[in-house]
Amino acid sequence: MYRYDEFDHTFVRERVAEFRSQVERRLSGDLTEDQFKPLRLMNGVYLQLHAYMLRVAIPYGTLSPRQLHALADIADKYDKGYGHLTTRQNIQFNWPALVDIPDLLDDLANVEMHAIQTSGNCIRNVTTDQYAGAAADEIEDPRPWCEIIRQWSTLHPEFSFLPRKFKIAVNASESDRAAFKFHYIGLRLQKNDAGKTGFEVIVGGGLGRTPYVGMTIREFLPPEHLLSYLEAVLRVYNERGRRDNLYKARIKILVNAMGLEAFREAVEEEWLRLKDRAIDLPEEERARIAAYFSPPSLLSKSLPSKALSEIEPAKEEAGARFQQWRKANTVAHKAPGHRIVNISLKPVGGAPGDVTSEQMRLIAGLGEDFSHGEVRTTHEQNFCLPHVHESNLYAVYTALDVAGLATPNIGLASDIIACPGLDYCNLANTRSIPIAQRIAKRVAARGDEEKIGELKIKISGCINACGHHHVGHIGILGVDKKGEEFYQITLGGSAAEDAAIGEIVGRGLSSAEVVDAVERLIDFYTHNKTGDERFLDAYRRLGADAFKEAIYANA
Amino acid sequence: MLTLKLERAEAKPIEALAPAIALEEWSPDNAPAAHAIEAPNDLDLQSLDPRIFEAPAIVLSFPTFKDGRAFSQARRLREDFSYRGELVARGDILPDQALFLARVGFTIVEVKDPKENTPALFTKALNAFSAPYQAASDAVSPAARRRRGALAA
Amino acid sequence: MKIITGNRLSDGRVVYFSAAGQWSVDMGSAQRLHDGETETVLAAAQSLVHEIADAYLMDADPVNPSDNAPKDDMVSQIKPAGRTHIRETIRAAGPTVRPDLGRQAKNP
Repeated sequence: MYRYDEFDHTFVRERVAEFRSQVERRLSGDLTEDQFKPLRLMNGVYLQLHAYMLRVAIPYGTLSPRQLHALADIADKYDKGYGHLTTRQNIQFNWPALVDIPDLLDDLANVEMHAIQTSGNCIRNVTTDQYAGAAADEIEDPRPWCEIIRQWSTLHPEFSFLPRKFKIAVNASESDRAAFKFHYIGLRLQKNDAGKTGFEVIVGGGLGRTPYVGMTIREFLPPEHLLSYLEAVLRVYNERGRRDNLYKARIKILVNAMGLEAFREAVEEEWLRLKDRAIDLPEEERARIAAYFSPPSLLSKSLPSKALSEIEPAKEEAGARFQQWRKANTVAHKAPGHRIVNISLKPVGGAPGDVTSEQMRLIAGLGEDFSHGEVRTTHEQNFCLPHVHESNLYAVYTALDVAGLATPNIGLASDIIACPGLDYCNLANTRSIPIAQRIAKRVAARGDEEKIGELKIKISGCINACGHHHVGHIGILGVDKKGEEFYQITLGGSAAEDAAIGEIVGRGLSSAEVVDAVERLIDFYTHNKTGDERFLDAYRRLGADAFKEAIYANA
Repeated sequence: MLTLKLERAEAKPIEALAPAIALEEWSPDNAPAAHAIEAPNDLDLQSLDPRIFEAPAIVLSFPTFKDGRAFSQARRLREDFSYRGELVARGDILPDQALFLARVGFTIVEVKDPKENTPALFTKALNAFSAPYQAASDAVSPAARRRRGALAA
Repeated sequence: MKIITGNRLSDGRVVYFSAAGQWSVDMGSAQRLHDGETETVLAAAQSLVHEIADAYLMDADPVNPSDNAPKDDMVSQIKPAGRTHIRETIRAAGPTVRPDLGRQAKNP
C-alpha cells in the first residue's frame, strides 16, 4: 500500500497545524461558528446531537495493521472505545471534544492518516472495490488511480468551495462493489478493443433527495489524462452548478438540467484546453505511486494452521459453523489457495458498522499475521482481509468468532447498511439502528437466512440517504410525521452492476409495523421464488404490485 | 476596508484601488487599458470582447466565502486568456482562503473587516503549506515535480 | 413552554440556558420561557458565543411531580415536547442504542 514520503508527511503535519490555529481562533471568538463551520467540516469535524463527530479518511478503504492499531488507541484515548465504519469506507468517532481534535489529528498523522476533506463542499474520500488487488475479475488494481486522485484533490485551490460535496469512485471489475454508478463521477477501468486499459467515465449519479443512476459521458479515456479530464468536469460543475438551492446543487441536477449531450460537449471543450497543461502526472510519478501497490508475494507468509481435516470429531458442530462462515463470508481470490475474508460488523442485534477498540486490535493482528499486512474497509460497513491463505482460514475464523466478528451473513438479510440516524445525527428525522437491530433479530429467529440468500436491506434516517436506501433490494427511509417516526419502504434498488433505484411502495409504516412488513416481504419471496432466484430477481419478475400487496396484507 | 497585495509569502497592505467600472459600462472605445473592470461571478468569460483583457485589473466577486465560482474564473483568465493584469478578490473572503486565491492567480484581495481579518492572518495562510500536491495557475512546483527533483538529486 | 438548548463549544456537550443566565448540562435547570420573552432571552443566550457552538429554542413541558419521578432528578422536572420531542429526548439522554453512554448512563 501507499507510504508517505517526506512531502506527504510535511503536508499532513502542516494541515494539522493550520487546523490547530483555526480551533484556537474559534475558541477565542475570532471566528464565528458560521465562519468556522466550513473550515472544521473540511477537516472532518461535525457537530452532532450529543457531541462533535470526527470522520477520519481511510483512502479507498485500505489500512495497515499499524494504522488500525492507532485508530483503536484513538478510540480509547479521545472517544468512548469504539468507532463506526461509514458508507464511504471511512471511520467516524462519535464523542471527541473539539479542544482535543488537533492532538487527535497529530496522532493520526503519526501513522500517515488524516481527516482532510471527509466533509464539506469539496472532493471527498475516493472509494473503490474493497477486493482491489485480490479480486479474480479485476482488470488491474484501481488503487494507484485512487491515490493519484487523492493527492490531486487534496486542498485543490479551484475545487474546495464547490456548490456541494463531490464524490468519486473507481471500479476495475465486471462486478461493481463500489456502487460507482451512484457517484458524481464513476470511473470504470476497462480494456478497449485494442487491448488498451482506460476509463469509462460516468457522471451525474447520486443518491440523496433525488437519486440518479450515472450516465456515461466518455466511453474510453486514456488513463494518463485522468486528472485533466476530472478538472474539466469539476470546472463545468463549479461554474454552472446551482448555488441558490442546497437541494439542487449537486452535479446530477446540473447534468439533467443541461442534458447529457450538452454537458458532454461542455466538458470535452474544456478538456481540449486543459489536457496538455501539465495537470496530468508524468509517467514516472504514476509509476512511483503504482509501485506501492504491487501484489504481495502470496506464498511467502502463509503460516501453518490446523487443517480442516484435523478438527476433532467432537467439534463437528464447530466445523459446520466454520463451513457456513466460509461459504457466506469468504470469496475467491485471484491467487489459487487463497480467499478474501469479509469480517462482518453486523452481529445480530448490534449497531451496523460499529467496532470496538479491542475488535480493531484483533483485526489488525489478523491482518498482520494472515493477510500480508493489509486490512480493508467496505462501503457496506464491514472489514475485509484481502489475502488469506486457505490453510489459515480456520485460525482466522476462530479468532473472529471469539470476538463476535464471525456472523455468517455477508450479503444476506442481516448484513444491513444503516446510517447512524437520530441516535447520533443532527440531520436525521428518525432512528435507523434500532430498525436494523430488530430486522436482524427477526431474521435470525427465522433461522433461514442462508436459504433466503442475497438480500440487501438499507436504511436511512432521513432523505439525505446516507444509508443508501434507494439502492437496497429493500430500502427503508425514515420520515418524521408530526413528531413520530415513520418508515417508507422502497423495493428493487441495486447498487451493483445491475444498478437500479428502488420504487416507493405505499404509505409509511410505524416503527412497530416496519419489521413485520419486511418479514412479509421475505415470506412472499420465499413462497414465490423459482430455483435459485434472488429476492431482487423475483421482484423484477413479479413486479411491484405483487410485493406491495404482501406488505400491506393484514396490516 | 483594507487592500492587500498577495505575494508568494506575504500579504502586504497597499493603497486602495481606483474604482472599477462595471462590465456593462465598458466599451472598446473608452480606453480599455485605463479602467479596472468588475465582473460578476456567473459571467461566461468566453463571451467577452478580448480587448477587455487589456484592463489593468479585473475584479472578481465572492458574494459569500462559500461561493467558489471566482476560483474557476481566475484560473480561466490566467490560463485560457493569459491575462497578466491584477486579479482582485472582492467580497466575503476568509484569510484561510488566501493560499487558494493566490494559487488560482489572484494578486490582490480586499478585506472588509481588517480588525478581525488582519494582514498577519492572510500572511499566515499563505505560508501554511510548504508546497501543494497539484498544479494550478501559480509558479509553485507541485508534488510530482518536487519528487522528480528529489529523485534526480 | 420553551427552553433554550445548545452544544458547548469546547466539547460539544448538550447544555441548557438556565434561569441564572448560564449554560448547564441539566435540562431541569433550564429557564422556562413563555410567549413574548423567547426571542430576547435567545438573543442573550446566543451572545455567549465563547461557550456554545449553537443555540436554539425547543418545546418543553413541565413534569408533574405526581408523575413519580424522583425528586432529586433535575432532568425529570422538564421534558421535551412537540415535534422534536424524540430528538431532544435522545440529545438529553444519549443514544437509545447505547444505554451505557450519555447522561442516561448515570441514571440506570
